[in-house]
Amino acid sequence: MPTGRSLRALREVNPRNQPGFEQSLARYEALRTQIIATPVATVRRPPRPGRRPRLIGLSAVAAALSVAAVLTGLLLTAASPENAYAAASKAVAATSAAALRSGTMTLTVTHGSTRWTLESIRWNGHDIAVSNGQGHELGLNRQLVLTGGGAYLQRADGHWVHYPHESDVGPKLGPAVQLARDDVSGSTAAAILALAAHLHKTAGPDGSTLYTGTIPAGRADSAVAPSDDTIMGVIIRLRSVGRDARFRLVVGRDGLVSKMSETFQNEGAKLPADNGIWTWTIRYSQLGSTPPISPPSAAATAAR
Amino acid sequence: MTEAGSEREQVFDALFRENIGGIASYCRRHSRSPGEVDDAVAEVFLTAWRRLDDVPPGTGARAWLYATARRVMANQARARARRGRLHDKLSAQPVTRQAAAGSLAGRVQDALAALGARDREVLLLAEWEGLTPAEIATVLRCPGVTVRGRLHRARRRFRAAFESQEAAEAPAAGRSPLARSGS
Repeated sequence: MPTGRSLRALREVNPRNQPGFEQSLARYEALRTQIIATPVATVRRPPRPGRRPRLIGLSAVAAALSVAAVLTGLLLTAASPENAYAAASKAVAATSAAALRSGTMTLTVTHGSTRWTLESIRWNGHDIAVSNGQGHELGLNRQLVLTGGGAYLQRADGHWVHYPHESDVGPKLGPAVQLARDDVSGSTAAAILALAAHLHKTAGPDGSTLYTGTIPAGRADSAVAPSDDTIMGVIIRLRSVGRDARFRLVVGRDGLVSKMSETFQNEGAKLPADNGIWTWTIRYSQLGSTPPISPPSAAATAAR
Repeated sequence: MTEAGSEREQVFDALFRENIGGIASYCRRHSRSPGEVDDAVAEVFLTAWRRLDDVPPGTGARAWLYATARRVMANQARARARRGRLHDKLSAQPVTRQAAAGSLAGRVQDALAALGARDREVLLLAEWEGLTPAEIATVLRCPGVTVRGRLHRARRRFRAAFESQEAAEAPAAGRSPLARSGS
């Protein structure tokens, strides 16, 4: 069979050559008009020398959050209350130092009266333990422990499997490993805080401090780079449809960030009795005091 | 409207009209729901609008747009992986229609499915999107020589997979391997 025949067949079924494709593009005409009407942001990201390293060591936490503290001061508008930004920056810097050693975080989503815990992550040094939540990020598996360069996976039946290297977990769990690494890098808090506008500071009765603000659709330029976490992904999606999000940052009496959330209205929600309000929340705890991550006492080596 | 603003609009307008078909097709291939497709297309061109000064002139613009689309798609995939089953509860049906078994489209789809993800990406960027190896190298951020090698291998593997599809189906169907259903 001539080589060209298979390629001719491939080209023949190109979706762009199918009837109706060109007509389907008419729906994007409104998009073109909307985009042109979008004001171009005056704040630009500094040029980056190259691709960001995929696996950020925990040593980068302090750097990322410290940079965020500086960026917070630089990026936010003069109309915003300076004292709120200065205080938030200080809390972020203090958090960065504590998170450098260890920490625990939980990611939840609230919709209406329902709350899903997507995952809980503990880290200490380079070691990370992920507990599966209702987001089923690990599929049916219960836990994933990354330690000593390898990975331990607890199956649904409770048994542990050991992978000598993280990359051995395969394509299904690979994204989960990557996400865990990204989550503990601390970049989420930094990126979201840098985007917040109209930040206000309120003292809580328990000694905590609440910072509230908005993330305007037009302020998300620094999120154009590929995002490594879900909340930033949500912000990017909101920006594309021109919707703002509400932002809340809680700093505990110890001066460390304890909670950060983003709330938005999803007009396209499909659940019954849906008010369309979604809140994504990250809770930090035991920053600097999370115990070491230990491998399970018994694990079978994964078949290769 | 200022003169500079008008010029900016004209540049974007040309960029949009020349590439909306390719980018929409590319996003459609990589997304799971119509909502994701529209979000991704909007994201790509909104990025282009905001960063118009960074978009390379001439033929480089197309590769820049595909590279942006690829990043947007990767971001969607990561968010989808995280949301897992929660996402499944909320999302719509997959965008790509399944081709009828035994049809030309079905055989092509099966042959494509037999390729690795990297080979498939390179092959379709070349054959469906019409990108040159140099443009693909820009999109995938890898050396041109790597793309050429991968493209050669992908074509060879696609051919082998397609032929095996034909061999398996033609005798049973009792017709020419290239006969199309309904024709």
